[in-house]
Amino acid sequence: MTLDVVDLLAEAGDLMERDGSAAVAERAGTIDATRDAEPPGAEHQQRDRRVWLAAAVVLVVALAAAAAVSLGTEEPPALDPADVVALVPSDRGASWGGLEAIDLPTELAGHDIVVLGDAEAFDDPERTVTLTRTPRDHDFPLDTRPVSGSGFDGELHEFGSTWTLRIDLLDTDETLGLGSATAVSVDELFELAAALDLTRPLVDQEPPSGWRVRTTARELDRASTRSIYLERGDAVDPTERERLFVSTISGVGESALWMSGFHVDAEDGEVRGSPAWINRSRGSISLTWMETPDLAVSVTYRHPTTGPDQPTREEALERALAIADDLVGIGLGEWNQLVADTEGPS
Amino acid sequence: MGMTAGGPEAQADLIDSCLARVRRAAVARFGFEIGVEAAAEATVWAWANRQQVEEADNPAGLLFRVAQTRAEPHVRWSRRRAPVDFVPESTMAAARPELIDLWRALPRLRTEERVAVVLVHAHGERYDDVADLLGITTAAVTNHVHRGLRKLRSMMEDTA
Repeated sequence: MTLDVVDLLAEAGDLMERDGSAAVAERAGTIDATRDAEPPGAEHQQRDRRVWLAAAVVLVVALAAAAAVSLGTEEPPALDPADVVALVPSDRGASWGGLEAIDLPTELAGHDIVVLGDAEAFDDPERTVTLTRTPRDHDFPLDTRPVSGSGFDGELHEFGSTWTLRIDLLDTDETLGLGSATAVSVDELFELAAALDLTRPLVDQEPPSGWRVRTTARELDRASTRSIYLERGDAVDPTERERLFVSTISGVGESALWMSGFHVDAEDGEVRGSPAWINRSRGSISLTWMETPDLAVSVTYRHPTTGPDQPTREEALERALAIADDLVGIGLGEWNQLVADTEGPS
Repeated sequence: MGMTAGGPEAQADLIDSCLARVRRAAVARFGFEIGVEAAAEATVWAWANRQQVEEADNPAGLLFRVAQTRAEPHVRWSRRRAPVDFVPESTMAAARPELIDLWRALPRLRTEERVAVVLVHAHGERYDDVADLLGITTAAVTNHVHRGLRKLRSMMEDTA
């Protein structure tokens, strides 16, 4: 029998159109609604963010200019040592590197993340920018301005209030991406978490009572990541369900979390251990705390944004805190032990 | 080409039309979850930057680039090179086996081939419209569709 792939595609397209259209409409409405419902003080925070964004843009423009100027010259562009506040070695964990001067790009070859900013900005993620390391086939789709220098070619992408400087290292198969940290969103948190290389899977753990596994790290082809994605509720509309993303980050110190922008908007005291940070964004709440001096736990609770179970701001926080407490009670200690067993002493 | 002159309703229709094409391409490119998220972000952006969209030479292409940028953090987070689904789990569970085989085969195509095949044969888009959206030539779209269909047929016959 000859399969008619074209007919199958047409049939598949009808279903994709139906589901995709409905899902995008719902999701876009949710984004719009949650953006409109900024909490009190958001305007002030936005103004602060704009100030720091401007500072960050100045820094990137300076970097790009340095890179452009270097075209055809012998000297690679250099960063001012005063701008470099942290280096994170890629060979293991996120222990602190030195604060010495670096030259782009060769001295960055052994590092995953570089945080740039002035020393006073160190504790403020909105005053820093991050440099992340990704495979060469990473896709930066926007129109760009080329930059180049000794040992690298690159592109500067500017888009609205965000920007990225992409640098292809000519002697490796990797790309460095320099992105703004104008504000820490959940998306950015995920991005930073990915950059930190969560090293252990959580897929064999039982979900908390009442939750079901939505996606495991293994299903996401992330066998090296200690994370799990849970869901609760039977509503057909996904915006009426609760979702939970849990990840543990081993081998990092408290300072590394600060550096990575996990600290955002500390409103509450402890969740478990100390310190704890709370981030609210687009219908979700993220809690991050140090379970041990070397193990951070991050829980992102995406609450219903429509339907009868939609919580108030305070209720959502209470639910997230309760979930965090439950998680601590059911097995983070085991996860911690798992890390210790498999990774050995640092 | 820029948006044609017309009343606000006509321009809104054009933006809607562009966003529908962007959504189809985003789902084909990134899979259902990330594609929906990216398309939703592009939708919000489009209406917040309506004038910029209206004045763009290639508004659908612009919005697809926005969607790709918005998808970037999700792709990095998931560390996925290829999408794993193109419809929700509930639809997948209710679909007939041939469709499930097709959706499972699609991620094995090269990205350009998958997007071109889905846009042309699943959604009935014209080759030159797909070329505009993706920022490639019509000839390239033709090649991607041809090669993608050939691979799909081979994969589907293997599973039949």
